[in-house]
Formats: sequence, structure tokens, C-alpha cells
Amino acid sequence: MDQGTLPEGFEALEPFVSDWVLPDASARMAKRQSSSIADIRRFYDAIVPRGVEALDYLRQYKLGELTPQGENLLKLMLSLTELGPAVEWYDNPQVYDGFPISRIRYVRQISDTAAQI
Amino acid sequence: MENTRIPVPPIGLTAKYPEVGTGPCATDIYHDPEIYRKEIEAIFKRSWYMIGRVEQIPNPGDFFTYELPTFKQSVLICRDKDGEVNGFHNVCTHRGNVVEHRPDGTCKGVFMCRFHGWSFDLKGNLARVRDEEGFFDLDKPKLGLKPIPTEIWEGFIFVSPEDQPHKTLTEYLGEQGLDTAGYPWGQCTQSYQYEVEVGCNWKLIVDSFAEVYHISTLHPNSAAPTMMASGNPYGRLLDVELKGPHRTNSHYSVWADVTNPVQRLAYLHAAAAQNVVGQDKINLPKGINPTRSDVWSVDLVIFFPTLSFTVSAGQYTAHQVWPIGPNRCLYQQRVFVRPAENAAQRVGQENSMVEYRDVSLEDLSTLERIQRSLDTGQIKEFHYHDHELSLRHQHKVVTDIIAAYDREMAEG
Ligand code: FES
Ligand SMILES: [Fe+2]
Repeated sequence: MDQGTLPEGFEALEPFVSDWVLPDASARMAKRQSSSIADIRRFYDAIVPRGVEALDYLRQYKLGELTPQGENLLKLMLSLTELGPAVEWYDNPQVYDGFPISRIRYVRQISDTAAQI
Repeated sequence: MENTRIPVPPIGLTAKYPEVGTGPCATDIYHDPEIYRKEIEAIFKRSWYMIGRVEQIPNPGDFFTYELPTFKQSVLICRDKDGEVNGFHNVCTHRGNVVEHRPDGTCKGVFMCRFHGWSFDLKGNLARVRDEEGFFDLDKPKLGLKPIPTEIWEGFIFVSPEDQPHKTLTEYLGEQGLDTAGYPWGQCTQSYQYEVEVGCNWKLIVDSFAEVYHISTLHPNSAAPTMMASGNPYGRLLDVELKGPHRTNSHYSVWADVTNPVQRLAYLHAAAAQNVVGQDKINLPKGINPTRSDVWSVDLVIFFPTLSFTVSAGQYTAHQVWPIGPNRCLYQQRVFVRPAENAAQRVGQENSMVEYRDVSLEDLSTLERIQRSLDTGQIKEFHYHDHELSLRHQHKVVTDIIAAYDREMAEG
């Protein structure tokens, strides 16, 4: 049985749960903007090598059927997608020379964990 | 696929449509308040507006409300007990408060105004008046909610701001609507929506997605590596098709071996790469991938004036611009994706949204700067590239409509 906050085998990512398990896309966007690129990279460098395994784990479940630990792993991966461009495109939390992201309002988001089919 | 054999698309799009011309275009339609006033009368009041999808209200009693910023109107859309979708002006007939104040939800058959509690049923009839005894000869049948013209195309709910629409929705959508009907619009049941107010003329936002001449310079690390792979350094288009006031840009792209780790995870392990790999690019309605190219990635399907869709074989994004002044508008972006079959695909959905949003921030970065150059008279003409044909076409459509409107007014 999973004991920690993440599924068995992903214990090494525990230190990132408190910062990077966030309620929704809008919160992830805000967290990226308020983080330093060094903090972003620390999480990115730890989780990217586990990415294929994490997705293999998640692929076994339908949304709505994950354990709480599985949901946390999913939410870490959702944070990773928010951070991808910061590391891979800009080397900065912000879009290079971009329109101010603080002016964007999310009106509708897809639930992180609710069943879709 | 051997990328080296794929030719760069040629120059020659504008020559297909001699009527649009080739000269510089005056920029007054991008800032002149008097032209804007005429656009509201001659263009915006005469168009239809997409405000949502039928999947948002699957059951009787389901509803959503929506603002039309250009017209300062609020609309109430609901499904009634016969399964019909009805649209009303969200205005209580007692003293004008909104009938429904929530953005969406399910009601038990009546909407009750929170001001004094008048209630209206799902067909808009005035159902109940609190302490009715105190009123004087209320003509209740005449005090129902005012309907707003509401029509559905391919599951999209459209409304007209005018009581007597200038054209039916089918007439408004025209050839562009016929050519893109049948795309699996309804299969992308999951969507994100975000919005932003931008200090620019509505046409600048339409323009920012309607040419990719800028792709290698404005999106060097984001969109360019995938959209320009295999030597298309100028981001040329496969085709531009003009259809009355509407138009479509068809985009060239081949699948490059993406090396960014997160993109690889999302594309190869979480089904996010629906715009570049593994999709049937041929069995689509004739207006999508119109050249039937196997190096096709997405089309930008534009419905004049302010609705457009970036459509790929497996997902799409809707862009809606609401003018609120000659140099101000609200821009709404909705990213529609297929439902996740498993929890890994949820990651792919989010990746698609984040990528699209960040690329859009690069696009939007130019707009208030351009508007400043327009408002201060620093740029009086635009010079359009052959592959900026969509912008030239829009210029002609707007200019022609304003000229016709001027004649209409002169003739009384
Ligand atoms: S304004 Fe709605 S009940 Fe009075
Ligand atoms: Fe762009």
C-alpha cells in the first residue's frame, strides 16, 4: 500500500510535494511566476528523469480512479508542464518579452482529477 | 518522412486574388474613432457571436450566462424541458436586474431574480410575482424574458445582438461554415478558457494569429522549431483561401524530432501532440487542410469579423475578440481537447494549453506597441507580405463594408 504522499517508488519526489502540488492551472501559472528559475530547475531536474515512469503509472488509471498519492503525482506532472517553457524556451519564469501574464484571467479550467469519460 | 524532399511553399498566394491588390494599406481603420463607430453599426451589429457549446448544458435546467462586452449585454442560455436551447436577454422585466447572476449551473425549472424574486420559467415566461396582489393590472404574458436570437452550428451556440438579425446564422457563416462542418468539433469536450483585455484595435488581435511570417523571429524557441522544421525558414503557408468576408490560412509543418524533455513527455507519452503526429490529416471536411497536404499541421479558420479557430486534426483553439473601443478589446481564448482516456493524457491536455498560452503571450506582446504607433500617427501605411494575405483581405473587407455603409447613409 502507498504510505507516503506519493505512490510507492516515487519517494524521491516527496520534497517537492508541498511546493508543486497545487489546486489548479491558474495556481500553477501564479506559482511559476513567483518562483525563481533556480527553484524551478531544482524541481524540473528531479522530476524529468522520472517522467516516463510517472506517465506509465498514471496511464494505468482513469481520471477519477487515482489514489490520493496518484493524484499528487499527477499534480506534480501538471506543474511540470507549466514549467516546461520556463526551462526549455526562456530560461526564465516569464515569457521572453511577453505580454504581462498577470493580466490573464482563467474563466474555465479542466478539473485536474475528475473523470472525463 | 524525409524532410529534405519537402519543398518550401512558394510566393504567389496574393496573385490568386487580384481583387485584393498589392499596394500599401492605410492604417486609419485601426484607430479612427469615426470608422470604429461605423464598424459597430455596419459590421458588429450585423454579425453573430459564438458564446459557448451545447455540451455545457446537457440537461433540462442547465444554464450559463455570458457577457457580450461590445454590446454591454448579458445573455442567459438554458436548456428547457423539451431539450431545446433557449437564449434570453438576462434582464428582469420588473426593474432590470439580471435574472440569473451565476455564471452557470442547474436550476429547478425557474430562474428567480435576486432583487425582488420574480421568477421565469425555462421558456422565459413570467412564472411568479411575489406579493402579486400589490401590483396594478400586470400583463404577465407580456412580461416574459426577452428572447435573443439564438442558433446552433456544429454544437456552437451563437447569438445575434439585434432583434432582427441582418442575416441568418447559416447565411452569416456562408461557404466557410459549409466547408468546415463535419469536423469532430463535439469530440473535444474538455476546454480551458481565459481572457485578457488588450489596449488595441480588434483587428490587431485577429492579425496576430493570421500570419506566421513572424514565426522565426517572434517565436524562435517556442513555436518555430516545430512549425518550421525541415527548412521553411520564413514560415510560409501552404495556402490562403478567401471565402467572401471569411478566410482560412493553412499551415505547413513537419514533425521534427523534438528534443525538449517536457515536450517529448507530453507528445510521446501523454497524447498531447495532436497537432503534429499520429492524426488522420486527410479524412477531414474539405475546408480543413484544403490542399490535402501531408505536411499540414493546423488551419486558422477565420469567421469575419472576430471569431477564429486554430484547428488541427485532434484539437482546436477558438479565438474571440470583443471590441470595446477603437483601441481597446477583450480577447478570449478557449483551448478544446479530447477527453483524457487515462490520467497520463490529462498531462497532455495541460501541456497543450500551457504551450498555446505562452506562444500567445509572445503574439500579444506586440499589440499595444503597434497601437501606440497607430494612435500617434507614426505609422500610416502597412506593407503586407504575400503570406500576410489574410490581413490584406481583412483590410479590403472592412474598407468595402464601410464604403457601402457610407453610401447607404447618404441615400437615407
Ligand atoms: S428587478 Fe427582478 S424582481 Fe425586481
Ligand atoms: Fe504567432
